[in-house]
Amino acid sequence: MLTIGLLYTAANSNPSGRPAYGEVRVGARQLPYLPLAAADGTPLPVAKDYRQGYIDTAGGGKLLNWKYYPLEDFHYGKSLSATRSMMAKLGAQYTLLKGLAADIKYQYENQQVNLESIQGLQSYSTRNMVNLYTQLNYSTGSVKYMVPMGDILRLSSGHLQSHSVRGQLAYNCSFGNHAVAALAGAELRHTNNLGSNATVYGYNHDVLTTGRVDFANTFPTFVNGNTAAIPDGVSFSDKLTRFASGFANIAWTVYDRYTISASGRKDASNLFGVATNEKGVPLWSVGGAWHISKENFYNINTLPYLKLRATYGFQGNIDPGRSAVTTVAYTSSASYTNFQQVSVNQFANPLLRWEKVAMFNAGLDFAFAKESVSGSIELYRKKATDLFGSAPIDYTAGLGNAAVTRNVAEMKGRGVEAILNTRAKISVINWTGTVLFNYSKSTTTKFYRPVSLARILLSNGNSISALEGGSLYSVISYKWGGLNSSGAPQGYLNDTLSTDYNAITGTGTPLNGLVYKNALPAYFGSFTNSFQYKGLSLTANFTYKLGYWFRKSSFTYAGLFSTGAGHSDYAKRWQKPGDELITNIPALVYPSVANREAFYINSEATTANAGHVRLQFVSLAYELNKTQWKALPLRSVQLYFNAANLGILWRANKEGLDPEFADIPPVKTFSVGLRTAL
Amino acid sequence: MKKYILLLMASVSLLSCKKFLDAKPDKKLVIPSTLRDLQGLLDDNAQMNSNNAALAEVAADDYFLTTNNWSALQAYQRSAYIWEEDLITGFPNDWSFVYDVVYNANLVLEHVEKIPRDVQNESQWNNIKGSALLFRSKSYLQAVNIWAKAYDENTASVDLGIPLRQGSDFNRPSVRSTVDETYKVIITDLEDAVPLLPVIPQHVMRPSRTAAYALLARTYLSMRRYEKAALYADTCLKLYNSLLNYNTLNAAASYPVPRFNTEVIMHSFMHARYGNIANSVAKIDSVLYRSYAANDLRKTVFFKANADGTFSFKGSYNTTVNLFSGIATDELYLIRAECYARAGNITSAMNDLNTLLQTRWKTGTFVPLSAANQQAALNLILTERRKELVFRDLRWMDIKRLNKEGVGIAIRRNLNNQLYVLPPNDNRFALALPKEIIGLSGMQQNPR
Repeated sequence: MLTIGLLYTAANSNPSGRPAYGEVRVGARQLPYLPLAAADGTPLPVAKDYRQGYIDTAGGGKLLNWKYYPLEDFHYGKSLSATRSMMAKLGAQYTLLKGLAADIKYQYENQQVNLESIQGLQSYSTRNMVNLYTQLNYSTGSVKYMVPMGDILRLSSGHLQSHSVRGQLAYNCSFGNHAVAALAGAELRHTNNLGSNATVYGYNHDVLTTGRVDFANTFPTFVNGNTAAIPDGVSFSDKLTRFASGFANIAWTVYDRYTISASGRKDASNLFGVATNEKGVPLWSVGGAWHISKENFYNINTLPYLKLRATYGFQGNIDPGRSAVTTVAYTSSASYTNFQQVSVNQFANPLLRWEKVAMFNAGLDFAFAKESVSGSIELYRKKATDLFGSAPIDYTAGLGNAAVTRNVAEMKGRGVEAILNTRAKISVINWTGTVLFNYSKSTTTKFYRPVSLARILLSNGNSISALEGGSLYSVISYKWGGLNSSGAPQGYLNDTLSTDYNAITGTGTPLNGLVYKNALPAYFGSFTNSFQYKGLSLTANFTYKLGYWFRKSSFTYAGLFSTGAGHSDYAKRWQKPGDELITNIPALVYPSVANREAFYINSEATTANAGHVRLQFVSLAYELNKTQWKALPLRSVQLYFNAANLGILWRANKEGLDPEFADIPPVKTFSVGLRTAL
Repeated sequence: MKKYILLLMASVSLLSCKKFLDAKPDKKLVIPSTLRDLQGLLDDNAQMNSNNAALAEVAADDYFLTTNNWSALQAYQRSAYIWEEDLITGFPNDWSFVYDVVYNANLVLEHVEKIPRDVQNESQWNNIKGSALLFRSKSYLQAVNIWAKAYDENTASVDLGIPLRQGSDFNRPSVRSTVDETYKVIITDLEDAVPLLPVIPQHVMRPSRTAAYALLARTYLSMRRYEKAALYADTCLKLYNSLLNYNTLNAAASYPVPRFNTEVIMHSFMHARYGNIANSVAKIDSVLYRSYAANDLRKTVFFKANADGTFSFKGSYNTTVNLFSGIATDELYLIRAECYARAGNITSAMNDLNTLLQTRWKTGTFVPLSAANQQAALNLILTERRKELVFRDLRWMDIKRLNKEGVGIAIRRNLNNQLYVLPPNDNRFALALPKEIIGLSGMQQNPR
């Protein structure tokens, strides 16, 4: 049998170019309040890069207007992105012998993306470029524009081509009380991405003329006289991903009740700087299943389906950044000299070994009579050695990195996964419910690299914890002793309150003097309810995560003073004696004290319980189908309304924070649609 | 027969699988194996020439800060100004910048030995090896100046030097050498580089034989071995001695001294992470400013007046706010002059000094200086050295070595009416290593 498919898509888009949240800044500073328009609505300039007083007079009238108006600047730029893609599929199935079937699939994809963006001469970015490279001779009054007067056009194009082939042989046969099912196959994928970028100065869209620019020499720039070259914006890229995989599995069932199975696969990709036999990772497992409810002795009528199964599996992981030799990359030509420069891409990391994971799981599948309640419970145990982690290194090594990937730890984990499906009819309403419950606990059993300084262990929960016997991922903090009567944060030195921050953040805090809190949910899952009445259905999905901690965002006075990075905590800071009873936010001191802030920001005061319940989505649908509505020209028509990311229903923290989205909450989406089937 | 066909098919598919997976994921990637690859690593001037350590200048006395400016700085910048221990935080920093250069040099040195040298590639091969040696020793010299005590032949064999990383394997632990060992490696590397390098480089961002001689002169001067310093300064100047006539410069420009000007033997500059020494903040020491005569062009080429009556520096040979840390001929004239004077050769010493100053004064106004005796000559030369090499990454080295000669230079900082003093030969002239490095490597911290 042959199957053929072809899909062609064309899409164009024009982004508005309006500045996004946080993009309008004054110098490097983000300001909480900034007037963008006058009382009568006239747009106001913002001193984006330079002082207002400076740009008012700079160049004595010989330069282009240097003001930036956030409210109207986007009118002077436009960009167009055009995507054309084609996908072709070819498939063939063939029965070679009785019970032996071959299946081969091929897919080809070709996508071209062209991006064209014009910043008109009236736009701030173009005026700024022209002004920066303007050579003004004050004595003669002559003006020379190194960046030609005109629009700036940026072109970028990407071309993706991919081929993938998957072939497999499936064998099924049964003889007497035996049944064998086997599958073997291979998959190859090849994806090539070509890209190019170019910048054209002095562009005139109406008559398609361009300006000439000297990219080789440097010029004194207008504002501070620093010399710089005009960026040419030309670059090319050619990236290739190749993936090969082979897999086989076999299952042998006796008497329709007892099954043993084995499977193995190997995935490899074109990692650079690695020997071919090291490019792949193996995965194998063996297992067995016992279909208890099919036994002759089984006679529990209320539980007609019961199956016990167990698997043991092993997996190796390689770090994709691993390289046996140091590899380098050709980058753009060097500034000043235009020599071809090369920089280190990946340094040799010869001591890095595979990460090895072994897992055992046992499960029970069940269904009660009439399948009104069904589900499964699965228990697992996991053990892993040579876990990858980012480990700080003595950067005297000169890698340009303060950390490298190393095998850092061993872990063990155990957990439960349970699914329960229920179905019931309450008068005319059909109700289905699904409950997912997970329990998971992972522990660091061994940490390979001794850590001497407590400060190095501090963590927001995103790296493997070095505390043996503790949670694999932990929020690790300094112990918090509240604010003192003058608003200074207090820690502990030898179990007594202290404000000696140099000692607390230095050698004064022993490793076991830190506070470790589990950073991954211990209990999590979801709860879905669906009600159906004739063609009308309503579904709601809730998710929950409990039993873990997170690091709250807060602020440092150093950040506030130097970049204006604000935070609502500032309003809650200690301001007068007595405030220490109601707040943990330290008093303002100027100049800021680095270790005082390092202590506070990494203390228990910035941690909170992350437990929460979220309303993930609600969906309301109404369906008409031909069985009920004979006149319907289609098989079915469904009208639906979906709402997603509806927010948190309950949270353990008292500050009203979303533990998963620190700054901007996920966008609530609402969609209305019509679905039809022919 | 069938068996053989199957075997053949299997081996073909395995071989093609190897070929399939050996394709490069990114066309720009290579395993360094050709001289072009290695030259490319050395030509990465963003890493090799543009992020030189700035701490020596931050800790020295060419500038001062007002309490307001100092308070507005980041914590590590404030500490560095008063030589406190926590003067490096965050990454990257001065320590990593120094050793990033060393890593690239080591990588090149390891690979170049695997490429056979023949008649055809000889000059390119030599240039690469010589350049790597020079880059590494230039970094070591900067590091030993910042993080070790001044060279003293009586204690050099026990004084703590810097870790000498002579290979690219990051798993090798760092161990502090002695000051003596550090200087020996610097000198040996430079001496080895001399015959390999071209006299004049294709670009002054690349090392050259003149740069190697110049660095040897600078190294010996910092060790107070003046005969050797004189010898190498002289050898260097015999190969290249061009001076820039400051009368040709436009003193009104934001940065009047052109980059890659005729005096530059090798170009490099400091990173700008220390706001302390940015010319928007750093005020020129007022005694230093007043020491320039009215007809001395350096007074207007190097400095500009601030609104508050203080002065800031605009004489960087990098023509930006980043300070020049390379080598130029003016320094070599001053090294040779000083060594001549110390050897009692007053005529030659004053000749060198006057040759240089001639180009620094308004045409027709310069009256050649003369000295009645050796000490007077030396004093004149040291005064002019101070005035010529402002913010050139040399003042810290000069204070350290001159204090060993008994000159007794102390550095004073006045903040919030509190006085911070670094007395001559204080332990803190060897700045503290980053705390993380001490914690991770177990190396010994400099005594405070």
